[in-house]
Amino acid sequence: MVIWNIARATFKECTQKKVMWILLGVALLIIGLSFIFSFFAPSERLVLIKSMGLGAIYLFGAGIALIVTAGLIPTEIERRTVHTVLSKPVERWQFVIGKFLGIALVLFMNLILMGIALLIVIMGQGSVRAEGFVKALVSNARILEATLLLFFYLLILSAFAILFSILTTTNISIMLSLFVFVVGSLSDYVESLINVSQNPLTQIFLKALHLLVPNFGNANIYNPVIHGYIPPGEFLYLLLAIAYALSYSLILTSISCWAFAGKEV
Amino acid sequence: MKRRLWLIIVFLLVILLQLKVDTYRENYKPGGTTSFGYISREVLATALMGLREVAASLLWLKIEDYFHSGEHEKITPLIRIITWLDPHFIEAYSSGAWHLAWNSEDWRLIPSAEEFLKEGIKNNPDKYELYADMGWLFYDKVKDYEKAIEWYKKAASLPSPPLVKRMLAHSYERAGRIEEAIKIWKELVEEGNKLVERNPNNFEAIFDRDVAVHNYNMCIIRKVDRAALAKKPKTYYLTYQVYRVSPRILQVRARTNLPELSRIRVSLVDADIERRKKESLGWQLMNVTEYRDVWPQVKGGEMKTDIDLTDALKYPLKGESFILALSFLPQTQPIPVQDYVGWLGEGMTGKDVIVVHTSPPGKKMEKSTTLTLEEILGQQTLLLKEVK
Amino acid sequence: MEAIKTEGLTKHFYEPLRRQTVIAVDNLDLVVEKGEIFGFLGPNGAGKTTTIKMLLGLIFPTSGRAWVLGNPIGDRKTRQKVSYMPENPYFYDYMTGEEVLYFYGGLFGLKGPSLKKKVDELLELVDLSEHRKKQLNGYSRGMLQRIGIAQTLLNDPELLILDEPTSGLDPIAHREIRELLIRLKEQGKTIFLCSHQLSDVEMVCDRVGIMNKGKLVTVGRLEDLLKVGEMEIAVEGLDPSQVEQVEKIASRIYKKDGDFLVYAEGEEKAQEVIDFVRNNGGRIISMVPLRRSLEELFVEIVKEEG
Ligand SMILES: Nc1ncnc2c1ncn2[C@@H]1O[C@H](COP(=O)(O)OP(=O)(O)O)[C@@H](O)[C@H]1O
Ligand SMILES: [Mg+2]
Repeated sequence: MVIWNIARATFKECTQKKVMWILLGVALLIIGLSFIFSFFAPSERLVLIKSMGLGAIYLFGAGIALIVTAGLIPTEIERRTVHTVLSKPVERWQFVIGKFLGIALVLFMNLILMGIALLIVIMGQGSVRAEGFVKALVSNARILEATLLLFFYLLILSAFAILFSILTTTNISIMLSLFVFVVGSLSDYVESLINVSQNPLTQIFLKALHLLVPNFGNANIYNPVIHGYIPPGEFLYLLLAIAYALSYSLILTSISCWAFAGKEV
Repeated sequence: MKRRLWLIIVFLLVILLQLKVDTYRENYKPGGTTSFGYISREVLATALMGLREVAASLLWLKIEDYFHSGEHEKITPLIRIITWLDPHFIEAYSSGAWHLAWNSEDWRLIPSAEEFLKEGIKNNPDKYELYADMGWLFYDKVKDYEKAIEWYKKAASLPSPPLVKRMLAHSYERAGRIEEAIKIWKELVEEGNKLVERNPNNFEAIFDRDVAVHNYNMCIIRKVDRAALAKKPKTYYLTYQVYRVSPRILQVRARTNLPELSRIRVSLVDADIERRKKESLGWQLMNVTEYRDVWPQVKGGEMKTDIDLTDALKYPLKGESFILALSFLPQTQPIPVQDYVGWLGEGMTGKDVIVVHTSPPGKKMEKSTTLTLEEILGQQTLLLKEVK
Repeated sequence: MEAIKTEGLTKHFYEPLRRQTVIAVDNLDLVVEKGEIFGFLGPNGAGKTTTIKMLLGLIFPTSGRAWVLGNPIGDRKTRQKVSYMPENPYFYDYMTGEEVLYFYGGLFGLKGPSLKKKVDELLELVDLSEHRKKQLNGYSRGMLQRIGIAQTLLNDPELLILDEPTSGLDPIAHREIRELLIRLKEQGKTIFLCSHQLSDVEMVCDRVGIMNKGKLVTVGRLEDLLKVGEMEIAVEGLDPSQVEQVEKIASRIYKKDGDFLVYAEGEEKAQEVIDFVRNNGGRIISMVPLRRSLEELFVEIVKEEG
């Protein structure tokens, strides 16, 4: 109840932020700019549209998550609005969870909007509609599947941004979270380096890195989605990947709650 | 304390989940390994940040540039990177293999083309395209029709256009397995008829059906005609002389009674080519010399062709001795020639004719001689060898 | 049970940049009884806000203990019965006036029609009904202060903690808030009023505590604090020799057209003066115990402390 109240207010606050709409607007623009690929063959063009679109959603989704999240709690403290909230019968952890849920709503809205925009652009391609509208819609709806999976991984990113913003400041939080995001996005490459490397120490280091750092790369299921085929065991993969994202977010949010409980505001 | 326990438990869960996730990750990762030699930093960054397929497409544009500017040596590594970034970019495998096998005009690269297609097939086992490409590699380039049959069979078992099955039938014809070819043409005729019946205005289906009917008829006719050849085979001979025109340029002059327009295969390779190939890892074939020419034609009882080895990159001539061979392979001959010698040389006999296999009966002509490095590199023009 | 009680409450702030520790609140022992309006006074930087933040659990004491409505500080359920208006309140400016009240009401666990009724009532009370649909970033300073007051009344609190509620308000608004405070006191609520606007406190508070540099300097009933113990006695009909004798008893004397203003220190001295005047045929015209203004007291204390 209290949590839901704070979540709703947070959602409202974020949707009033110009920077979020600007980022979303640029992302939608990139998604919509598919006609620049008109010099490619239709099948190739489709791959590019999907790939560019999903890439834009990945990057701009992360950008929105970072910029919107990192400022939330510091702003509350700076403007002292947090005093009016925490002096009411609200636990510190409820405040943190409420903020987190609010952000989740914001991210969900953004991702769904971007995902649907991309779907519309794809459905606008003549070569896609040729196979029949409903069939094309069903097969391309996996864009939304990829977008939804990304949603869970952006939760990790937001959880990081919240934690860092409680421990440091907005700007430091953005930088640290960005760093984590970049390293975590390379998880596939880190994993391949383990096999390439000869030195056992390096291997152990890389493996530890791979297991400790949040693997944002897990959200990258774009290749099969782009080429429209379903790898074996995808459903299980999605469940595992989502469970991973939620557990990781749980850890971070727990730490955030404890850190915030001990913070003087 | 409780907190720490809670964190440890959830974190263990996270690690377990990631380990499990990793077992599925193969399906989504870039394919295989590669080096980043030719990739610009921007493209690499694009790729790393989740825009792998965009990066692949951008690089694909670059291939075009290299192709037009003639920087062929840059194309193959670039294609490797593209397929690494986007292992489902079928066209990249297709073009890459084509580039290796045909465009580079370097016979040493054919195994690489084959490996490359195999990798593509591994990544895209459900698409017919690369199986068909593999079939075409063996049908058209290597002219190993049994292998072509193998691959076209796999391609045809997947959803694919009628052309694939037609190529399978042609491969059977070339391999001399005429009954199997006829069976497929018959199937194609029946399938075509069904399609045309369903829609009499489907011109594509009508065309496909008519092609099948024509080929079916031709097969039946040739089956009878060529069976007759085996009853009274003709004696054929092939002799030749090898001249050195200038250093690294040889000339072969052959005399034969083979039918007009017969194609004679000319090859000049390291005497120990197999060992050399094994020793050259991957793409480095610096020590292998492999010259092959499948085009020389018989005109007026003669065949004359130059062996130009001046390209020292392609023909490094690192060994001490080389084997020059001329061969006549009945399967690879144009149809009018086959009408004289049969699919597999059934109509051939004589001391120059070798039996390759007996079931189905296969014959060929092949005569080789050894040349030393000095013979190839020498200065004056002279007759090096006479092969009777 | 006291509304607020602190025992040795202390707060140190470490300032890493200046490498020094600020003692914002130093060993504070304070009791606020239920039902009273307690004025918590002190110049800027005295440690008032810091004390309040500790009482509300926003920051944590370095040492000492405190209870609010009988429960140790930091207890969530207690805050259900407490309300707080921060100094220079700033609310979520993307919300409208009524949204912000709905939001805070939700935090108190109110919902549905009862919340709506409460919000309507309070908007009416603080005279913001017309502006209820306007976003707070369009509110004036005074309107924000009024919304701040309204949100303290959402939960029908037992204890109100108001940090500088009248700062930045015009005189009319001052009066309105004063009247509101008196009404609330009549309803039996305890008010902890923190201010450096002495006029407010002077008119409404039962007791005051004065802080300076983190220490509670005085605390007590306002009347008691302001009493100086000097009596001003206006006298007439005494001849100059008698006046000289009076002067020996009194602390000082003013002469004015044959009348005298005699100041006597303490009740005994005053009685002596009165007896002397009566016995010698003089007349007492008036007798007034002298009081300091709060202002005077305040300045005195702050000066004393240096
Ligand atoms: N967060 C803080 N960090 C460091 N010093 C602080 C902090 N908050 C208050 N102080 C210091 O504590 C003292 C008391 O401040 P405060 O309680 O705000 O005074 P008041 O409300 O009486 O004006 C001041 O010297 C102030 O500078
Ligand atoms: Mg203050």
